[in-house]
Parts: sequence; C-alpha cells; structure tokens
Amino acid sequence: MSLNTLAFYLHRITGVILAIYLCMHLVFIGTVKTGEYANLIKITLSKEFLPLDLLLFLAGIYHGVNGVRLIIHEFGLLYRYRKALLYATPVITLIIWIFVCLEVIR
Amino acid sequence: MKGLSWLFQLLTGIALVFFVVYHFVVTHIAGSLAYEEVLKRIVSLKIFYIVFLPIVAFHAFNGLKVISEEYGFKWSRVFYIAMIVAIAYGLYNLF
Repeated sequence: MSLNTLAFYLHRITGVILAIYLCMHLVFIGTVKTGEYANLIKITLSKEFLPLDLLLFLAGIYHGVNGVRLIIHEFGLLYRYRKALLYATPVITLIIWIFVCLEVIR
Repeated sequence: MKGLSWLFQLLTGIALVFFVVYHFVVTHIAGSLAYEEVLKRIVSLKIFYIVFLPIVAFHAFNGLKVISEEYGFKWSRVFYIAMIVAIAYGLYNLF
C-alpha cells in the first residue's frame, strides 16, 4: 500500500470516527438541559476515559492536518512538494498531538 | 464528489480548522468541562455555536454521504435528513 493510499484511508476512517463522535457529543451535550450532564461528565473525565479522549484528539488532529494538505493541493498549491507534505503530515500530527496531550493531562 | 457538495465540503473544512481549534481552546485550555462552566459557555458563546453547528454537521454528514456513494449506496436523503435532525437537535439544546 502506498503512502498516498494509506493517507486516503486514514482520512476516511478518522472522518467516520469523528462523525460518529459528533452524534454522541450532541446527545451528551443535550444532557446539560436535563441536568444529567453533571453526573455523566464525572465518568467521562475519569482516568479510564482519558486514553479514549487522547485517541479521539489524534483522529481529529490527523483529519485536520491531512485535510489542510488536501485543500492546499485542491487550490493547485505546493504540488511540487506533495511527497514531502505527505511525509510531513504524520509528523505535524504527532507534534500537535503531543502538545494537546500535555495540555489535557496537565 | 462534485459541484456544490465538493465546494461546501472544502469551505466547511477550512472553517472547521479554526472553529474546532477555538472550541478546543475554550473547553480544554482556557476553560473546563465543569457543568456550571458549560452552562455559562452555552450562553456566552451562543452565536459561535449557532454558526459552528451547521458547518460541522454539513461536513460530517456530507462526508459520510460521499463515502456511501463511492461504495454504491444511494443514501443521500438519509444523510441530509440526519444532518437536519442533528442541527435541529443541537439548536434545540442551545435555546
């Protein structure tokens, strides 16, 4: 599998994960109105949930960074550097993810 | 993905980079997820979330629609209905 194909499928998979999360997030936020949120947030802020949160951030950051790469090429920009940007995408994703993890765990 | 669907997917994608980063900063860095804070945020950032919600819902459900179409499913209406339901439910929770 080429790196391009891998990036394509990762974009899709993370997109589906984020779409499912969006639905769950909307239902979860809906509990603010009923007052249930106060109890539910204690569960989702527990240490057991933290790895899931961090993985969700990884999916979101990858989808965003790769999306920006795709948009740059859609505008016909930096096409000469497409291979370099393809390699840079996971590197940039990891740097941002580590920063986010540190901020969230702190 | 062609025409308006492609154009809006691209434009909402650009907008979401900024919206999601801001949403993350106010919920995880500058603020917290405590019940009282979320309640306050829903009021103080109401306009932000009213704009954010349709953008993110379009990007998500249009993306799912495109994927399903590429696998041969003709479920466009299902995804558009789901998008409208998600926006309506989100707005209902905001007011």
